[in-house]
Amino acid sequence: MEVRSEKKMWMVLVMVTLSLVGKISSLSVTVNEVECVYEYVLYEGDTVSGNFVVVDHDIFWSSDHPGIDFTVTSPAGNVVQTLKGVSGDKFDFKAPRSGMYKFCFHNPYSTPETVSFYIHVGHIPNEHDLAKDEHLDPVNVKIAELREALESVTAEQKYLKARDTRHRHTNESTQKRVIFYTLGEYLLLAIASGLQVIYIRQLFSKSVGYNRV
Amino acid sequence: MSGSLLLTINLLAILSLGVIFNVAHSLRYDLQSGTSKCISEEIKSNAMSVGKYTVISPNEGFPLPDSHRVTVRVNSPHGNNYHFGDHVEAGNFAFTAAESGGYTACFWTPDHKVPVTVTIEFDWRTGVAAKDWSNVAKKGQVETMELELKKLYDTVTSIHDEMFYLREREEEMQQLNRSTNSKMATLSFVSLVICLSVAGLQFWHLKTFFERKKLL
Repeated sequence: MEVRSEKKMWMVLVMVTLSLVGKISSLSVTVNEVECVYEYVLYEGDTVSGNFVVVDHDIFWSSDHPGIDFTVTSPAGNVVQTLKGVSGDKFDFKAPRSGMYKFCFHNPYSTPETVSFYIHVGHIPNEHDLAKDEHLDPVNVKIAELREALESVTAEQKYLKARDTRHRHTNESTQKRVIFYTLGEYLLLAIASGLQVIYIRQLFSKSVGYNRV
Repeated sequence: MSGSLLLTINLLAILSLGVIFNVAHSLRYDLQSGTSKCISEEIKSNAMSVGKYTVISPNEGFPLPDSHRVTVRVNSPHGNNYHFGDHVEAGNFAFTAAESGGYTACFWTPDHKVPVTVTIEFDWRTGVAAKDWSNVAKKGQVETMELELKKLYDTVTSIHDEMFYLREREEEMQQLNRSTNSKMATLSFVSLVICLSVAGLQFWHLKTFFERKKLL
């Protein structure tokens, strides 16, 4: 009896950050730090699809952080897919063979990054599987296709949600910066003008010397 | 490969039930000794969540050495502990989320003189995927096709709910942006006012000061 198995991955946030966050201590990301995740593909020809988004923290200083590199390695050892210097992207490929695939994120910079990703391995039974197992209806193929289509919608939603989270972080940081930097600017202005006045008064004080200026 | 052993066991279980349903495999990653890694997931309140973790033995068939045990902690966004496993090889947990937010599952191995890399297989499912379909199949005596279609219906419902959630979040973000925009306008205007008033104050103060000193 044939078992049609499908792997479902979920969206996870791999915390690749330091104890700067406080209560969670994890791997510190230094230069050339890599984070890898393994996923098992059961059938050759399965479509592996997914997406990942780098969710920025308040740690980021430059808005043009080039992003991270993403590599997919097949069990044979050759690189199936690679994306360089992106802050988030979708990917999909047809698995050339079954086995354990390695999905690696590489952070070329010293600032730790949090990555949110989703990987899905989808299998649609084809005529070969139909011929092997008499319990498998042709309708099951259609159902599998429908399921895969729904999975792609779910994956897209997860991608949008992750991007929305990142966008929200940026916006919240913008608002905080607007408020604090403006208030700091007021304070500094007041202090600078106060110091100016004090200095000018000092220049004209009698103890220093009348008409010294 | 332990993954194939898992698969064989699952195959047998399914054969005995005689139902085609989804076998889920899991996420596998490495953990250096003495470090910890956390995985977090956004879970909405009242959503079911099940998790299962195993330490993959580095040598096939041999019992797991003591140095390969992990400590697991599953926490809610407010810090409540939902599951704690101390020096275990494998375990599972299930809970219904009381609050919505980011739930974290942290794995930690103690440090050894010889640094080892522990491979952990972790399967964490929430919402639709967490539902136990084998029970549904057994209870209602449903046909395979009906089960599959039920699953698809659940998936569609969850997609629908997710769209509502995304729409809400987008609304909140628009609100945030609008408030930032208005705050920036007000604060810039106030900054102009402050600048002029400080300059005016300086001018007035120095004028009276010099007039007092009889320099002007």
